[in-house]
Amino acid sequence: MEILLPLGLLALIGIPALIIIYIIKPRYQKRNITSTFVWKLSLKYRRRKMPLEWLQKSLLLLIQICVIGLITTVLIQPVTRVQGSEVEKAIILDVSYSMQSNVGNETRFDRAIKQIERDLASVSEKNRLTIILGSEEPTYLVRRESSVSLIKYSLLNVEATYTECNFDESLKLANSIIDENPSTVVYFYTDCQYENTGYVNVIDFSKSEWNIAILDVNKEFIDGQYKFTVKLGNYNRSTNINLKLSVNEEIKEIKNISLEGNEVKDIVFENLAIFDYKNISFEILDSENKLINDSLTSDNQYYEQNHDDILHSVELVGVANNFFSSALNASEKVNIFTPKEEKDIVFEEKELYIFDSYVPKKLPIDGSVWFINPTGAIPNLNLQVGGTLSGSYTMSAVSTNNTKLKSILDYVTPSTIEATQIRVIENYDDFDVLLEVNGHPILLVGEYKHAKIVILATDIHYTNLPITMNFVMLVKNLLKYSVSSTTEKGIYNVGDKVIINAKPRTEELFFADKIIMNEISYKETIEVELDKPGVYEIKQLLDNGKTIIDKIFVKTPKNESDYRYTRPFLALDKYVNLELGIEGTPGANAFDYASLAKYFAIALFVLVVIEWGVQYREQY
Amino acid sequence: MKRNIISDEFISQLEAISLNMKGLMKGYFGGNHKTSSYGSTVEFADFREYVLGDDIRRIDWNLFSRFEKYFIKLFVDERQMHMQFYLDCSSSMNFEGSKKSETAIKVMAALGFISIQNMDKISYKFMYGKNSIDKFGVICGKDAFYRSLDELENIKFSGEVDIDKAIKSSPNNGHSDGLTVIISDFLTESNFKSAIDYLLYNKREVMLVQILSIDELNPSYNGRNILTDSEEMDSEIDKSLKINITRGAYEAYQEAMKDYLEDIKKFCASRGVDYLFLTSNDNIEKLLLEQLYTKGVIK
Repeated sequence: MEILLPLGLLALIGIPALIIIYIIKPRYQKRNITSTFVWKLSLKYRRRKMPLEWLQKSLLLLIQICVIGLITTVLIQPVTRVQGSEVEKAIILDVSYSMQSNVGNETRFDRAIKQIERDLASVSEKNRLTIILGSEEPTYLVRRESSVSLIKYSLLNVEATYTECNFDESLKLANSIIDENPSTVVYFYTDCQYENTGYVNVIDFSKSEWNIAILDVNKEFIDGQYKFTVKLGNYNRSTNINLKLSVNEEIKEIKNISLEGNEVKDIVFENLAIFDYKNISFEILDSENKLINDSLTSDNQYYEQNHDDILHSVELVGVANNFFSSALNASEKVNIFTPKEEKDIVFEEKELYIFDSYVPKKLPIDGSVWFINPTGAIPNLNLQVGGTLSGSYTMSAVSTNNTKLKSILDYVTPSTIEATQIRVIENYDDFDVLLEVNGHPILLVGEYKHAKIVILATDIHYTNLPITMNFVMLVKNLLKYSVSSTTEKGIYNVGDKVIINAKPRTEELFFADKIIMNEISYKETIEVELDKPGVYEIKQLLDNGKTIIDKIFVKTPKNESDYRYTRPFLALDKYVNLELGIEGTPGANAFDYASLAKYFAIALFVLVVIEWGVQYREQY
Repeated sequence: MKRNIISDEFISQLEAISLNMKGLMKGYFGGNHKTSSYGSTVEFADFREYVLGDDIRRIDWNLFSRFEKYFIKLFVDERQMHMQFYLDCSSSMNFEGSKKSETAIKVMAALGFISIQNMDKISYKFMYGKNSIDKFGVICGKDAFYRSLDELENIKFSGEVDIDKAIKSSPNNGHSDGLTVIISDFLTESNFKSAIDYLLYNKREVMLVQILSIDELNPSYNGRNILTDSEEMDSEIDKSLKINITRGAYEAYQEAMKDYLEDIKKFCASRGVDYLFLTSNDNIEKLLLEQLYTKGVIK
């Protein structure tokens, strides 16, 4: 007998525990009655005693021990080696994106499934079948299964993915079957090419599918202009296409290109006076300027929203302009507007409003707001602003579990920040305090109508902040927290997760036309998994009626588009397991692992039936 | 009078009742019960030939005219009955909450009153262990009876009782002079049947009154128990029983109890002994009278 999971033996601790409980539990209780005379008479009326009375008394304990034994058995998986199947098949089913290539109404994947269904005819108790789903993280669909109906049922919900196939990991799973039965024949149902297939029988399910794809886009900034090089790949058919470049949603140029079958060509777009752009897109069109309809369609377009040169608009009102201007410019690309007079102050169209030692009569209708040393009550906020306290103060951080808020103090050392005057803030329950002095909040973050509000309750002139690196880091972190882009980048791979930073005062947020959230807290992180290639639209409806639309592009895996991509190596010529000393020779040393759990289950069942019988006898 | 034992209403009911003796008895004092000898009552009994010395006023002249022989009329004689009560004073009769002792004393007082009311004499004998104690002696007349009632409430119940030996060892069990009432739960291994045969041999009429509690008829407990007998404290024998009371055990108990009661009944029927069965929760006044009327013990 072998044990597959020895750690499961820990469950046996339950047996002594059970015995102790059995020993210490009260079994008979004393009871005074008028007379035991009739009870003694009644004993003659009872049926004859069981011959194995000790067994009857201990039956319940035996059953309980057996239950623990069964649990342990299930955990440790004890197995014994028995004569193996004569012929066994392990199929690695490629569920990568290229298997979705279709011709007519049939995909490569459909053909592979049909082949497996044909394979089922030979499946029996001695001819078992294993199916491994070859995705990025391969798994067994069925493992050494002999039930045709179960395999058929399992196949019902199988679909090809949009990722690549992890061949090495898939093969490891197949090899574990060979470990158990060296006569196993490994098949790989795929559409890919290999230089060396070794002991794996590769069955190619590709047919006459053809694909033209944008394999890559290279961007260069030369002499103040953008130059784009598009790598086009065309497989299995010669064709003429139009390649359209759009900049900021407007058509810039369409090139007519002829491609031979299995040709890869670089197409260059330059000298088009593209000095800056918000977004660009490339689309492969047919002769009628419609998106081309080849066997794999998601790789026929490319989209990029420019994340390189985002300029944040900031209004800075106050007395410490130079300190903040310097720190802001050192942190991000910002366009700072500084009003000369109070009447010039604007309350819209900025991403960030900084009011230093000044409190406006109303709050801006968009963007985040920082109040540095607020001198009076802040409109629309519940907190109370009091007078100043003078003294010698050293700041300390207030711990928080929220990672988003915690990041505001990244690279900032609160214990080195000193102040000689602070402003008293009270009734700040709606805010999170990040810095404090003797219980007085100094740095607070909160929100008003989903707009992030930051309050620094001290005049930076009365602190050592401007002369330390703390100030630049704090401003940089606060800026990132307050005005970060909707997404970190514009292009993602299948399987990536995109973090969406909702704009201030967003009331509703849609991702690919599906509403994600309609009440967004300043502390929340919105994360969406990207499981399919294509262009995704992120739409935000603000409370001022405006709509912000961002787009991200999820790339098709390049190797999936490239039908001619040949993997250099799949497996050795012969499977050898040096550790077990097993060599893959069909028919030799074939063995199976037979689980012993069923014997425990049978024993448990028999004991339960006996217990039931005993109880029945006692009752009637 | 002790109202706790028998109420005034019950006494008024009992006043109209008299005991009906099946057999004829002997005795010296006049009473309400027929005897085997002839007396001077108005109730005709028989004829016999005149012998010298007979009162010639009793000669039946009508018979003389028919047979030309002298016959004199004989009349039934009535004598006083001696009613004896044997009360089982074991612990089981006074077990906490069972009320058996209370019922037993009520039965004893009620039957005693009927006897006294009928100008009979009674004796209360209390069985303890292998003996019976006659605390009050022979009670005649209502005054003595009421005095005895005062004492009945103070009877102590303890230990176990051997009914057979207690009755047989009792002095003055009587002979052909009345009724012996044995009141017990009869949940005993003692051979009480032997005692009954002994009394019958002495031509006493016998009545058994068996009193059981509800808990004895239908035990309310179950599960694994060590049952301790209430009489065990004073017994040298270990009477406790370790038993798992399942549904099967409970049904066996019911069967055993039923058979045991049936056995007592059959025995009584075979000996012409009256048998009364009461539960401690019964309405004694109603049930006692009903059963006594049904069995013809009272009229």
